[in-house]
Amino acid sequence: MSGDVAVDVRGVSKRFQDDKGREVHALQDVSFQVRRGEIVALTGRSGCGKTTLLRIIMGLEHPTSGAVDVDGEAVHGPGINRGIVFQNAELLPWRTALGNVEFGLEARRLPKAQRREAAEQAIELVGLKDAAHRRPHELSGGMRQRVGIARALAIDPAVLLMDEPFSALDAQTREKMQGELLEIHQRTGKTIIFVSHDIDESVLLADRVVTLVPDPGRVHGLLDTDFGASIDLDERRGSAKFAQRRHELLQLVHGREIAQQDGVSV
Amino acid sequence: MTALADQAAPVEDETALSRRIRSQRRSGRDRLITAAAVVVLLIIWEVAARQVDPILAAPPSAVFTALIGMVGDGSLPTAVWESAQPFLVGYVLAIVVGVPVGLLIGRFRVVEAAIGWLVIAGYAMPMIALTPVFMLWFGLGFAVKAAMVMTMTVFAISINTWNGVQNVPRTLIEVGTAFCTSQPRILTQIVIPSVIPSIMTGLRIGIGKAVVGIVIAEFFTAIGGVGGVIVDAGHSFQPDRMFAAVVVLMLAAVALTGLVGLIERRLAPWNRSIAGGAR
Repeated sequence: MSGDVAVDVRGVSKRFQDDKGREVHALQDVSFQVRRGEIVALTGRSGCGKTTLLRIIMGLEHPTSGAVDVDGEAVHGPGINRGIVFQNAELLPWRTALGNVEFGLEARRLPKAQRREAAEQAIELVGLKDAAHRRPHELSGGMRQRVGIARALAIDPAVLLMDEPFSALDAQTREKMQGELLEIHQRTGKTIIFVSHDIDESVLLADRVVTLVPDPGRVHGLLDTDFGASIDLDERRGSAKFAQRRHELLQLVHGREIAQQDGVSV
Repeated sequence: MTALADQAAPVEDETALSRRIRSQRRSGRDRLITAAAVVVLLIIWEVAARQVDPILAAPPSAVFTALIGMVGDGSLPTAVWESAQPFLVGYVLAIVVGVPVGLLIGRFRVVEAAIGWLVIAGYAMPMIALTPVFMLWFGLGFAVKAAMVMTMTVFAISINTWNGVQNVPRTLIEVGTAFCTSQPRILTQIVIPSVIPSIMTGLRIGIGKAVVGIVIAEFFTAIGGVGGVIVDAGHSFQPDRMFAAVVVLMLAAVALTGLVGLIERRLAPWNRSIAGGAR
């Protein structure tokens, strides 16, 4: 595999039994690659297995068959080459913002001073320097999710994995956070994979969108958004390309075939 | 990005501040209502008690006078001290036993299957039924009081701790797993801090239980302490002294519960059910 593939998902299938003992075929033969520095969205209707797929890349669940490589290494469980952002931030309530960021670093056995420095840098990167010593209950939802992002970034992972990171936020905060994510991406150059059920968000933020369809969960199509270098979200939103991509993605999500246009492969 | 965040921060602070001011104003109003209710109750009690035979009831003014007298002649401080010692010993023993037992039941299914039922049964059982056998085992002195307090309290503490372990958010444990945290660190950094609020709830409920325990012990076994004062005053038709002792018990229970609540807020300020209070 060439050196610029950050995540390689090969033939991943996942079957499990639900509470009633029925066999659920969550994912079937899912394959795609994520290039280094790319932002990729996993999207699809509910039940399409997008979150299961992300959890397999995280190493929190194991595929029934198939394999995932991150940074050239096979995934067998969670690892510090992946930084994870949870849907509801999931901060430790008894720790300050800074303490939560340090928590992620503690498994790395760094000297204390170095750990503190890395945590402070990450807190600054997400713009929470002034709130570093507040506890989660003293932070707004958006600030909490910023701490979640800082915690994942602080371990300097090869890939940032985000599970519906902005879905629990109000619309205004969500828009702001989306812009900040692109700014963070521009500054750090991290590879980012995020799950979203939001068509607009997927088109707006991702370089490429992987669409999944349910029963069984499988890849239906890949969409290159191809917005170019500008990370101005208002500009992106207002462009004709956004409307077109949005339309194309909707077709894909609903399982329809779309005409082979530039950047679309089904 | 930093600029965006800086703009946002004051707005968020403002809402937090106004929320705090509003809750302070509300708690000020609530306190006024409580104080007014206390005054009304005292007035009704005063008026009603004056209508009946002084052998049967005493108005608050008489109770207050009796209270001053009992403090003055030293009988009340002696009684309080006599009750406080076994109370503390029993309560501390209940913590020392109840918290680890709750942790073990919550953490290990085997332990839950083995002794979970016992803790539930112990919590549900009216302890007073055990008084005769406790007298046989522990005699009529200090030991029986401490034992009653402990038995009354330990199950409440165990059950709440147990409950707390079961309610440790799985998502937080998953955060630990995702960041490659070792099992011992998951226990010390995630599980135990998550359980602290439940343990403190157990300790708060335990205070009330312990007060009942000490009074039962002093009524039926070793007549002495504040419970003894109540029994003696009742038998000698001195309702003013009796109510004075009851008021002391009530105040002590309220103060101790408040103290545990205070410690709870210091230990677990994130626990909204305490910090937020009633809406």
